[in-house]
Amino acid sequence: MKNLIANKEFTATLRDRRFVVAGVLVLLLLLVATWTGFRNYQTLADKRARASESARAAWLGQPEKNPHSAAHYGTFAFRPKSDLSFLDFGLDTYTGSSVYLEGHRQNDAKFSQAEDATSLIRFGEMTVAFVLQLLIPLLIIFLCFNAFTQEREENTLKILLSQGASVPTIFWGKVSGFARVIGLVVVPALLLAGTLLFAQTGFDPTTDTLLRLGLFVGLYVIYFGLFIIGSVFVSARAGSSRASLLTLLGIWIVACVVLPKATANLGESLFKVPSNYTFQHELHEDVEKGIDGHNPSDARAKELEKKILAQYGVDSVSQLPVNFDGIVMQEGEKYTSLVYQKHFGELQNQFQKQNSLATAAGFLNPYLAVRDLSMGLSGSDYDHFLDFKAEAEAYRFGLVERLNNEMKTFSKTGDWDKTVSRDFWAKTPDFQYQLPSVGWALGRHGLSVLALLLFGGLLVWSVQRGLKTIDLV
Amino acid sequence: MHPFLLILKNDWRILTRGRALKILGLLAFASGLYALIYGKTFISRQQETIATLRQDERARLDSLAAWARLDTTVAANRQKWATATSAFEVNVPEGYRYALHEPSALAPLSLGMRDLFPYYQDVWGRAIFRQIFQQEIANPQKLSVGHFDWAFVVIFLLPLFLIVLSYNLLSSENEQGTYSLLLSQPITLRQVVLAKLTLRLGLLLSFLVLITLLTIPVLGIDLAESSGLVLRYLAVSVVYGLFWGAVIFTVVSFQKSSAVNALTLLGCWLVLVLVLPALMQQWLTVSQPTDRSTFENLVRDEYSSEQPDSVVLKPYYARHPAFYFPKDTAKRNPDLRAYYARNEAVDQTLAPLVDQYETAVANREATVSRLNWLLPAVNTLDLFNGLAGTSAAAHRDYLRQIQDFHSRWNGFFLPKVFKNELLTPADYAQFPAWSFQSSAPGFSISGGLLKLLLVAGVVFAVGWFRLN
Repeated sequence: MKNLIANKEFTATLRDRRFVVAGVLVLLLLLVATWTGFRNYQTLADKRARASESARAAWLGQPEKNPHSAAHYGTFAFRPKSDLSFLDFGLDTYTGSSVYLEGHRQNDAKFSQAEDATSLIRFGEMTVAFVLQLLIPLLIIFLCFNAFTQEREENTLKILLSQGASVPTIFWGKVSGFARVIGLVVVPALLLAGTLLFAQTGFDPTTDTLLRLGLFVGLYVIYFGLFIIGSVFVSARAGSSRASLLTLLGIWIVACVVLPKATANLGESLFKVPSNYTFQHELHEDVEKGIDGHNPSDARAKELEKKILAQYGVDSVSQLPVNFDGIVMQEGEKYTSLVYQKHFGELQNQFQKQNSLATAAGFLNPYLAVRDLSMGLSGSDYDHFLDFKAEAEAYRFGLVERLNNEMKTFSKTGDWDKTVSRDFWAKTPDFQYQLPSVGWALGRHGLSVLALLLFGGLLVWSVQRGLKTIDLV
Repeated sequence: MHPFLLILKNDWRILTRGRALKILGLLAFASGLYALIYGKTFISRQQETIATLRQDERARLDSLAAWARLDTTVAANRQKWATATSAFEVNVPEGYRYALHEPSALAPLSLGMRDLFPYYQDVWGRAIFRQIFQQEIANPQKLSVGHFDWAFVVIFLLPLFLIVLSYNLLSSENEQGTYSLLLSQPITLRQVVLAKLTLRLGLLLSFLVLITLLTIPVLGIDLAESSGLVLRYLAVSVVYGLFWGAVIFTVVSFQKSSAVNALTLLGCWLVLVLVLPALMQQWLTVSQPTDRSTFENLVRDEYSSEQPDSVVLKPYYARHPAFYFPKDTAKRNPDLRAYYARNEAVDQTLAPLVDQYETAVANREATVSRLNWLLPAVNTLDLFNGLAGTSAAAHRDYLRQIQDFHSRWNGFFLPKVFKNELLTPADYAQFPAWSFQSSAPGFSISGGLLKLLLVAGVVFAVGWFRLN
């Protein structure tokens, strides 16, 4: 019986010209989004790979110079695009694409794509995620809003019930029929996306990428499922098609347009971050006066000098067998690193607090939970960006340390003119970034997983309960 | 009473007795008020920073000026005096000035790109392109979601409110069975629809005026100075509302059921406000790519230039013969002439690349504005941002002003550096000062507004003929 009802809904929908037009339009949009997203991804990945190569070439091509000059010359870390980021650009457009790595300071990632954009960027980007998160739910509403109300208005519901079909049977039959229709719209685009992805990786994707794709698909299956169940249920409870439609559209507007903006804006107003000026100013203060404010830099330097002199058993720096400047700079690097870690850490904490409002709202609004998870699985969320920044910083620290140690051992204190030979540059490793595993990504979004599952469980449970008491006719 | 007025009055009664208008009015008012407060909070934080920077600059320059007047017979003063009288020290590390992009009076209404681009810049005497590619600290997630400002309320939410109020203008008569009764009156269908629509547009207009009036005390707008801007801003909102009125009029003229109307109107909203702009954005990134990775490599510090001083200085003197003093062979410590030559060389290498990039971005904007006909929401946002001085174009204009200021700043100090002259206390009063010229007051809305009106007219005409 359930199957029969599902078949009826499926066939009836396909015969409805209006729906076919809307469905085909959404499918087209989805295909366009996949294709343009992929093109964009390719251009960016290519550009960054080339820029990364040229940065490395510039590093290797340095003439003989003092290692510390090389630390000032520095190099760049370019953020590679993750395989799945063409499906969901996430925050990639707004996070910097490269970090300048130099001695003495940690730079923030710069040159985000959003800075190249016109005011259009404020309207969003037509990515696969945009279609899946915003437009498919509307299509579902369009499909389901009169699932029950129409039968009631045309008096066919009584006939159906008199055939021996129970309310839950009709309900779940309809849900499964609509699910097939939505599958018809989404599957072709996902197949295209999958093919492009496989072609991109030379038909040899890593298990991690496959897992991410699998979970990505699973995530949206749950999302659409929730929307279908919810919409059909609203239709079953509503007094008229009009009321059902208005309720559903109202929910969509609040969940997908108003709440995301309101939570982000409120978060920003509640948790203040310093301006770049204040941030740099405080950093500078901490480097000068010490993190605790009682350990100024000249006192630190004197202490270091005493320690090193004692270590080597000499009375003055000129008697040291090593270059004291190298030691000072490395100690300074360690200290400034601590200061930077502290300040960037505070800033990131503040951002996480701002974002936590949206995560918390995810318990009431599955759109927010899905948006969060979708970005996470695609590797385009804030956490993946921070991971890249941390890797770039670890690389920078290692590189500068190497240069300082070279400085320390190869020359004497005060000798700034001695240079290292050109082949030294090739001995420093290149920056390689590895995307963290899918398990890590899910761990970062544990709350959103919980929110989605909890919301889904509650919805199904209350629908089951509601169906028992519903007065359909 | 004229039947038109009769319908208007009757409809007003129905609306005021139902719940929809009350709920919507409350929602609209709450979102409008929130948007104003949010915009004000956002901009006042920026203003706080600007005030801090002004203070910092004032204190720095005042103390330098005091140092320049110190008595050098006292040994302890010499270091300070040397710093304050060195043209280089004041030009670059000590006396740098802030170029501030002050928010215009209407900036809180349409925050535009003010979160994406920095609004202050410390201008030093070194290469300008090593300085201006800065960014302000911002949460990427917030950037991607965008603002809940008044522009958002007008562009995204107001059409929805209007749609909810009017999707069943005619269909409700049919569904309540009053349609034939209505047709038996000595009045045309056009008059009925127009009367009802006029009422709703009137409500919209009063809401817009109400919030606009509220902005004056909430944002502390000085009417003597900015009343023209406020009125133009209101005009754009009203015309955008009229455009949606025309869309509703035409959809209603097809005389379908309430559900179909609601869906069609929401479809129009979706396409015009969400889908087309997002699609356009995506298409632009693919069809007109921009690339800044070329100058990332070049924005490095002075150590990157390995050429000896004489090689760098030769072309520099060729460009600036006034700075060339062959007879002055006295040794200088430090000799900063090559420093300036290197910095200018960096700017010269980067200028064409930056220019290319800016042209590419301007071309993108030109493409968007050519297709504005199809994108009323984008058109309106551009008009809002233009009036608020928060558009990407306004930012580029600000960058140009920074470059001009940088030239003036260096123009004052460099002759002294090359002539090996010291700064005098009197020079301090002559330093070039930053003054920002906002592009907002001169922003013309006529072109965009005309497009919006024409498109609204065409859409309206379709409905007019359908309702014959």
